Amino acid sequence: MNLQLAFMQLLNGLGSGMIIFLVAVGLSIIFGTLKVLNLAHAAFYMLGAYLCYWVSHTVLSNISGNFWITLLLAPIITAIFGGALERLIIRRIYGLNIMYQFILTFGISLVIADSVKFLWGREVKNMAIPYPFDGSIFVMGANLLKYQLFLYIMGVSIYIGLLLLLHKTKLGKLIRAVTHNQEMASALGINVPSVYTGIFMLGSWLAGIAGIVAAPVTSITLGMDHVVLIQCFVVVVIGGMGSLSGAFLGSIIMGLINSFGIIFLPELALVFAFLLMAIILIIRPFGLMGESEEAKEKF
Amino acid sequence: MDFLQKTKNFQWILMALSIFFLLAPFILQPGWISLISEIMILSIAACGYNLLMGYTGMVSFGPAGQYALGAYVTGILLVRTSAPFLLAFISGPIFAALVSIVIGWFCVRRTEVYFSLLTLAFAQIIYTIIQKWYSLTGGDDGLVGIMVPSWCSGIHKYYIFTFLIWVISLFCLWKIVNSPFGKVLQGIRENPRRTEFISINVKEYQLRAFVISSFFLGLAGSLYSGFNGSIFPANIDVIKSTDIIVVCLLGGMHRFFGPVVGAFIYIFLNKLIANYTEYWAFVLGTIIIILVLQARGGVSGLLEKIYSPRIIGSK
Amino acid sequence: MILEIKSLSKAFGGIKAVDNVSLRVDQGELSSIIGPNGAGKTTLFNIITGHIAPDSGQIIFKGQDITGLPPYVISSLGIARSFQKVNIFSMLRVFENIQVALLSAHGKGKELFSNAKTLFYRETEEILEIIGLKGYANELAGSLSHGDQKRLEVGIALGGKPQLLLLDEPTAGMSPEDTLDFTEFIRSLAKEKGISILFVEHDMNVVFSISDKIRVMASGQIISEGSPDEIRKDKRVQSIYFSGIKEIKESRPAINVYQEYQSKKINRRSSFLSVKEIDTFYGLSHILFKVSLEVSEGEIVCLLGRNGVGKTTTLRSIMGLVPPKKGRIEFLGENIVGKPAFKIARMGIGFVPENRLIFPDLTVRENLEIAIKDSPKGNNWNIEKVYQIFPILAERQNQKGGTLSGGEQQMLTIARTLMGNPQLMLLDEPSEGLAPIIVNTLYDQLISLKQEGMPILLSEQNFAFALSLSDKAYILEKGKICWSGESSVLKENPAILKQYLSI
Repeated sequence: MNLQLAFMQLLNGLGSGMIIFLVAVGLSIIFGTLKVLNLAHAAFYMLGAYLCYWVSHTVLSNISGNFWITLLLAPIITAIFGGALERLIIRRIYGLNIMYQFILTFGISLVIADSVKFLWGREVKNMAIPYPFDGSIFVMGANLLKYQLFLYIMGVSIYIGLLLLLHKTKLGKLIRAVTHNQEMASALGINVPSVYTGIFMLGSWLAGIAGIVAAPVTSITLGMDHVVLIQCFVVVVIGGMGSLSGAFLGSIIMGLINSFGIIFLPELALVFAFLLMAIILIIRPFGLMGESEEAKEKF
Repeated sequence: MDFLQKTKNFQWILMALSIFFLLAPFILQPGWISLISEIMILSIAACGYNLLMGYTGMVSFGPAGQYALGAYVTGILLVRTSAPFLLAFISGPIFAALVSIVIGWFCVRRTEVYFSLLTLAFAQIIYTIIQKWYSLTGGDDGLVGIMVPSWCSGIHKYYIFTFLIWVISLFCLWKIVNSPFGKVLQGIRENPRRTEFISINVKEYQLRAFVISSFFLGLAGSLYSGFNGSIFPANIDVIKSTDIIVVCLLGGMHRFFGPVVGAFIYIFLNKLIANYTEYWAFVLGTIIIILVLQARGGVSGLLEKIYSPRIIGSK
Repeated sequence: MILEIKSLSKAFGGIKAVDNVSLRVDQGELSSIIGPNGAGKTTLFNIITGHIAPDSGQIIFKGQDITGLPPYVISSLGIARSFQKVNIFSMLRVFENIQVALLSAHGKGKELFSNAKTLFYRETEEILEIIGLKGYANELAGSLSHGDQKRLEVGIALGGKPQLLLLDEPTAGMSPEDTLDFTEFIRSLAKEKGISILFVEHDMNVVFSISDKIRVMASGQIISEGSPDEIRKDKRVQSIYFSGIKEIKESRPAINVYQEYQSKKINRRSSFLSVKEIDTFYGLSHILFKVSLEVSEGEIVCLLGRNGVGKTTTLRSIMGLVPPKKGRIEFLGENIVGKPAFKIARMGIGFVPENRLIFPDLTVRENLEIAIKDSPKGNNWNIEKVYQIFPILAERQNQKGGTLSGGEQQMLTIARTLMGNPQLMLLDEPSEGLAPIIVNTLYDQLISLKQEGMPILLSEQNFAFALSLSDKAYILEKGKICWSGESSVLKENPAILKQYLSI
């Protein structure tokens, strides 16, 4: 195990961590504010990836730069779809026993997954890495895909963007107020149901982006949502539900476990991730960066 | 089970059903026999799980874990050792129960979503270990060639064996649910704080429920290994957990026979629809959505509303 | 002596919830603990039953030290308890509710193979008889009326064959008829069954009619104990419940707004807010009984009453946070019952909750900005104006809300509601927990609001403060309006106040 290999794995791990972050952060936000465990979230990710493939191979196949156009427009579709879902179904399960939320959102993910199968079939799809990030470069002796740079840029920009949204914009402050006490927010005239819809749409938008960003470097196939969903859970638990920075940190950890794990302990890498998840739940259930319920109430 | 119990016909129904089940191998095609075996196995798992979820109110996301332990321990003993069948068979659920003492001890210290996620984490750990430990479990290639002794091999004879185990299991669970212990568990579900204050150490009872539930989940797994002659990670993944949960929801989780009814309907529907279309997931997903939004009491809840409207419907 | 508490203390953060409390309960005693909100009564119960561990002190029950033992052990030793919110097993049948308590008490909880239904049949019937629910044995517990559920809860407690029964606000949410029945039920439990009973109550009728002994708690300490007559005459107790009498006489005269309005020729007659016979429930708990009140333009109206009578519920009902089941509430001519809170807020009602409810990790300025909304009648309020009236908020505008002191948070929450340009304000106990000097500032601010023409509905326990500000007053007693009229009448006749608000 030489330094070069280690470095390459580090970069790879960070890259895959960024993709996981893009999916996990939406799940974390939705859980933090709406208190709903949304298993259908990864299905939106899958939808995003398939949309990306479809648009670039059919609708806009003759237009160069179609990937970027898709990146801009397709998440809007997942967002709208998420909003409709929230209004029609999700808002009827707020406050219900977690079992119902789990199984209902699971049911929704089944419907979405089979719809994807119906629309695009069973074959694995692949996408080429788009210009200008195709090809690779040499960084300190390691061979790095240029696309990795794009992943870093995306991950960090979304992270910073969300931080700014939550802390500097009025919408973000509304979200934080509603998360803290939705009754008081309502009494101040804030349209809480609409804020909830907005949050769900934000989460779905992020999942769509994640799918599109992942498309060139993952096999686009049925079942891609399952793999990602489990990893999201690990990330959100480790980082802390509802914590933005926690999701970022947790995703990096997850990405590194994946990439280093494959080298050192290929059999046990995944076990290690779940073990970490279990340990966090046992000793510090609100995650590395989450706040315990007591801490939140202390004002 | 109250409305059914109220009908004087309940005893007759049970007897009629028992005769039907005993005569089935002589009447029905092997395909049907196999189907009924599968239903019985799934219903043991679901009833075992429901002891934990429907009766004690603990929502575990990982019943597949204990099911897997039962299936693989029995499978491994039968394939890799020359252990006698019954010993191998009972080792499955016993091992599942022992492991769940440890897992459960940690899990009951957490509540609500954290409890659920912790059960999921443990189930995933079990799954991943099974999938990766090729030399022991055969990994993704699975464990094949699980042989059962001649007195229960073949579809018909294994059906009789399964039927016996099914009757015994349901009988035990029925006794448990109607025992003082069972009442306390329901109290814990309804109101843990209150239960604590009628001198019950709630965590201890929750752990016991967890272990008993795990035993029956493991038992179902062991049965399945023998039934199938082989076991693969695909049989014990997260989908298995959701199958079990859906079965309970479908049949009704607040009534003892709910999961049994659910298992029947679920497997029948599955086989039926899978014949016509490859979009079974879509159908299942839609059914789940309708159930959660409109019929949380499942099929038995609906039946109750029709036949005994005076009783308040389930939560 | 069955229970002895020695020097018990418990602090949360810096606040002493229970401060060096000592008391003794004798065998067969039927006694109560009373005191204002936050006096520490429920905390004391929670410590006795093992739900909270004390910082120091001892609890000795029947000669055994039970301090710090877990609840399930304490209950097995003979202490039973009912909780404020009804705590029964809703989806089990009534007789199962009691049976399970009996099963546990006899150590049969872990038995797997006996049939529970037949065990302790006779004992269950006996208890059902005692609590008067024999006819309901097969009903689902959740389907019982509120009063019957409370009885069932006592029945469950009795299953443990307790020698000491702790009841936490047993008649909360009950109708007056149910309350009478229940009071008699408690008395017969104590006298005929020989169970020592200690209960916490806000309903003074109950307390004074059946207690052998009353203990009064305030700020975590027991300040007095004695027989009902002794307590009635105790000046210290009077001052807790009735601290305002002296202050009313000495308070500054209310600015005579009537004269002001005459001079400004504003028509005061039009009714702004009209609450018509609302009944509000929390679940099955009946809190408000046909409550009616009116706030006219430019008026300050106060809603007085002891804690637990329903003042907060009234305001929350108006705001749509707890919709009434019956009755109408008319605001500017429109019925607002059933509308969600944010729509009511947008129509122009501003709500200032008790407990302030500041958003702690938003800054002061952000707290204010979030509440900005336009009013159809024109925007009277903006950040600059608010900073004028509450200069301390300008100073602290970039500090996080959670770092402000209690008084500053109170100002912030009022200012925040003002940012929404309300046409009517509801204030829930604004002076609670504030130092007198801050209360004076609050007084000035509210008066200046009044001068702007803002109608205000104010609920208060501090009636000196409330009466000095208000034109009209209503007194609530256990969910019913029992007096209404001009505040000046109350100021001149403190006997009326004493009748309804004191002991």
